[in-house]
Amino acid sequence: MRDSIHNNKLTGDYLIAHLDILSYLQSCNISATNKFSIEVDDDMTDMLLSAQENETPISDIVGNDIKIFCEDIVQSYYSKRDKALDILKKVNFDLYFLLLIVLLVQVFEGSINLSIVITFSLTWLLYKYILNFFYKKLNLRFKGLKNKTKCILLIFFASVICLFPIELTIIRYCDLLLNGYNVAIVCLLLILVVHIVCKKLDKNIRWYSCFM
Amino acid sequence: MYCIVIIGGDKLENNTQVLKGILEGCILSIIAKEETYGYELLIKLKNNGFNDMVEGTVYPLLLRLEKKELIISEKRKEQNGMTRKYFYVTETGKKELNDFKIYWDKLYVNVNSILKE
Repeated sequence: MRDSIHNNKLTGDYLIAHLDILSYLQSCNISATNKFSIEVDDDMTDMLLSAQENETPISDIVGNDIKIFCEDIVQSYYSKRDKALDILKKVNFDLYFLLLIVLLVQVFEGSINLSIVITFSLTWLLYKYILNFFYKKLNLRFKGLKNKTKCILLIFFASVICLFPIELTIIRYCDLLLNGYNVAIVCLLLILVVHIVCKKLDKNIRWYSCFM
Repeated sequence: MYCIVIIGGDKLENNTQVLKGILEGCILSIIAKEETYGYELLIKLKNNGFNDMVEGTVYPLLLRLEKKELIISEKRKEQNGMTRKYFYVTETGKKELNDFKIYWDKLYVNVNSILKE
C-alpha cells in the first residue's frame, strides 16, 4: 500500500476508507505494485483528500456500500478474459516454483517423497489462495491497520489449524519415493499445456510472462 | 456498434447494468464537449438530473472508459496545490460516442412507440 498511507494527510474515517479500498484490491489479487493499483491509490488519495478538506461525507465519494464501489473498480480492471489469463499465469508461476523445488531436492537428495510434493503444494495453496479468499470476505469488517493485521493473523492461524491434520495424514499415508526428474517432466508438460491455453487467450504472451 | 448490456437475457433484471451503459455514453458526451475532471463531471451529471450520483459511481466508469482507450487522462496541479485528473476523448471515443448517439436515438424512438401504444 506504498507510502501513501503514512505520508498523505488523510485522517480518521477518510484514512480508514482509503485503507479499506486498497486492501480490498490486494485481496482481489491486484498487487500493490501493479500500475493499476498505483493509479487507483493516487486517485483515491486525491478524491479522499479533497473530500476531507471540504468535509464531504465519505458516502458521497464511495456510495453507501464500499464493497460495491471496490467491486466496480475491480470489474473495470478485470474482464473475464483478463481474469482467466491472470489465474493461468499464476498457475504457471506456481508450477515453475514447484519444478525448481523438485529439481533441487532431486539433485541433493537423489529422490523426492510424494508427501513432500503434496504438502508443499497444499502449503503454497494456503499461502497464496486460501488466505486471500477469506481475507477478501472479511477484510472490510476489520477497520484500520491494526484490526486488519489481526484479521490476517486470525485467518492464518485458523487455516494452519485446519490444514495441519490434513498434512500429517498426507505425510503418514503418502510415503512414496519418486524420481524427481519424472515429476519435473510432468511439471514441464503441465506448464506447456497452460502456456498453450494462455497463448490462445493472448497471442503476445511469452513463456516468462508469469514472472512479470 | 454501441451496446448496452442487459444481464439476464430478455428480462430487465439489473437496472444498474443498463444505467452503466447509458452513463458511459453521457460521460463520453460531456468530456467530448470540453476537457473535464471527475468532480466537475459529477456536477454536470447532477445538473442534468442524475441526482443520486456520487463520485464512486462515476470513478469506475471513467476507469472503464480509460481502459477501453475511449478517453485519456492527464494530471495537473491546481493553484491550491491539489492534483486533478483531466479527461479527454480519443478518436476511438468520438466514434463510440457517435455509435451511442445513433443507438440511443433508435432505442428512444422504439421504447416511446411501445409505451404510447
